[in-house]
Amino acid sequence: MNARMIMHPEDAKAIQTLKKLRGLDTVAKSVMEWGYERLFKGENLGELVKVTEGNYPVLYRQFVEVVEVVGIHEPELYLYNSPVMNAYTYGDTDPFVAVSSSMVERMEPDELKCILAHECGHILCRHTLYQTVLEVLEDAGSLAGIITEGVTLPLVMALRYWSRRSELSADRCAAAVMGERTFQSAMLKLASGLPGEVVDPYQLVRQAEKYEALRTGSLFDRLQQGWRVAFNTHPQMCHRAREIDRWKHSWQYKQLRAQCPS
Amino acid sequence: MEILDKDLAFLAKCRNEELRVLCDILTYDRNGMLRYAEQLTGSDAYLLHYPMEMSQMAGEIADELCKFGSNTVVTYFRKGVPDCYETVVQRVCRQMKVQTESGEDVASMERKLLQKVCEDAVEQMSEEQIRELADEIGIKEKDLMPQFVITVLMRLMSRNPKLWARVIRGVIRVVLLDFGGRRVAMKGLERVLGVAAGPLGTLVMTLWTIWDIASPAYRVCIPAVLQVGLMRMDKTPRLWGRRAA
Repeated sequence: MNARMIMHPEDAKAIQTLKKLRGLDTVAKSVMEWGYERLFKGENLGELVKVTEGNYPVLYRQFVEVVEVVGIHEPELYLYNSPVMNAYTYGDTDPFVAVSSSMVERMEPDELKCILAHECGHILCRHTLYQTVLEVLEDAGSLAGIITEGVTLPLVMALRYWSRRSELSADRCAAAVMGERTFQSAMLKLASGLPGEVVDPYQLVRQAEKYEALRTGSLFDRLQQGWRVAFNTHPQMCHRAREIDRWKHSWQYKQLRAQCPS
Repeated sequence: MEILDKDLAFLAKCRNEELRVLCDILTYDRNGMLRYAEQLTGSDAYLLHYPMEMSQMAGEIADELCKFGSNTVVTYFRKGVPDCYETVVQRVCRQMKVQTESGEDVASMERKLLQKVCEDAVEQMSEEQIRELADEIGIKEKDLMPQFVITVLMRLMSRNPKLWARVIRGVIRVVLLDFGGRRVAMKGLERVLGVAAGPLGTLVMTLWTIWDIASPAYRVCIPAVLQVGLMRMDKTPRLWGRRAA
C-alpha cells in the first residue's frame, strides 16, 4: 500500500511542512531511538505480553495478514491488560503495536483486524516520527514550567491539530484493508464499549450530520465546539465515522479495496 | 456546485482530461506536493468525482481558481465569495505586464496572455532550441520565423500538455522571481518602518504583512488562468480564428 493513497490531505500538507524543517527528521529520529523507543521497549518487555505464533496463534495470524496487506515490515505485537479498549503504536526504526485485552475480547475478528490496520497505517505514514516532536514539546513544557509551556503551546496546538488529521489517515488505512462497513462497526464499538454484533454500523455517521448542524449553527457554536476539541490528539468518533463515509466514494478507496483480499 | 461565474460556465462542457489538468494545477505544486492553501482535495465533490467525472466538479474548480486569485482576507469577510474570474484575469495580466483595455472581454485578455507567454518562451530560447521546437511541432526549415513558431505553438499547446508545461515553466519562473524579489524588498521596508514608528507602527505593519500574505497566489493562478485560456481556445475556436480540430 502506498502511503499517499491513504493520507488525508491535511495530514499530507502538515508532514510536507515538517519535512521542510531541515534536520527535524534526524533530531526526532535520534530522540526516538535513544529515548522513547528504548523506554517503550523496556516497558513492553517488562510489563506487556509479546504476541507470537506460539502463545496467541489466532491473534498473531490476524496481525500478520493485516501487515502483509498494508505492506510494512512486521512490527512486534504486544498485548496488555486493561478494561479500556485501546491500541497504540510507536517507533520508527523498530516499531511495535500494543493492543488492550478488552479490545481483543470485545471486537469481532474483522473489527480487530481493522484496529490493527489502523495502527499499521500510522507506521506506513511514519506518523510516529513526527508524533515524537509533539511529545518532546509537551514534556519540555510540563517539565520546565509555565513559561516554556506558554511558549510551546501554539506549536503544541498546531501539532495536535495535525495529530487529529493523522488519525484520519490511519482510519483510511483501516477502511481500505477491511472495508468501510467493518470500520464503522469497529468505531461504534469503540464509542459504546459494548461487545456483540453491531446491528446498525452507521449510527455515528448520522450523529455526525446532527453534530455538524450544531457546530456550524452560529459563530458561538463554532468557537465553543472548536475549543472543546482543540486540545484533543484524536478526532471525535462521529467525525472519524463521517470522514470514512465521505472517503468511501473516492477513487483511492475503490482502487485499494479492489486490491485487498478481504 | 453550479458555476456562477459566466466566464467560467464553459468549464462544465470541457473534456475530462483538460479539467483534470486544471484541477491538478490548483491542488499540486511543481514537485507533486499538495498545495498548502488548497481546499479542493478535502471536498465532497473531489472525493466523489476525481479523476473520472471532472465535469461534475467544475463548479468547485472554478470557485477554487477564483479564491486563489483573490485576497483571502477580503474573501473571508465576503463569507467565502471570491472575486469574479474577470478580475482575476485582469490581475494576472497586470502581473504578467500584459496591456489590457477597459471593458475588454475575458477571452481576449486570455489570448493576449497566451500570446505573451509564447513570445517570452520563444524569446528565451536559443536558435538551436527554436529549431528543435520547430522540428517537434512540425514546422519546416524554410518557414522558421519566430512569429510563425509562436502562432503554431499557441495552436498546439491546448492539445499537448507536455509542450504547454515546457513553454510556460520558464516564463512563469521569471515572473514569480521578479514578484518574489519585490516582495522581499517590501518586507524589509515594512520592518524598518514598523520599528521606526513604534508599537502603533509595528501593529500597522503587521496588518500590512497579513494583507500581503493574503494577496492572490500568482504561482497558482497564473498557470491556472493560462490553462483556462487554452481550454477556452479549444472550446471556442472561432474566437481564435481557426477551425475546430
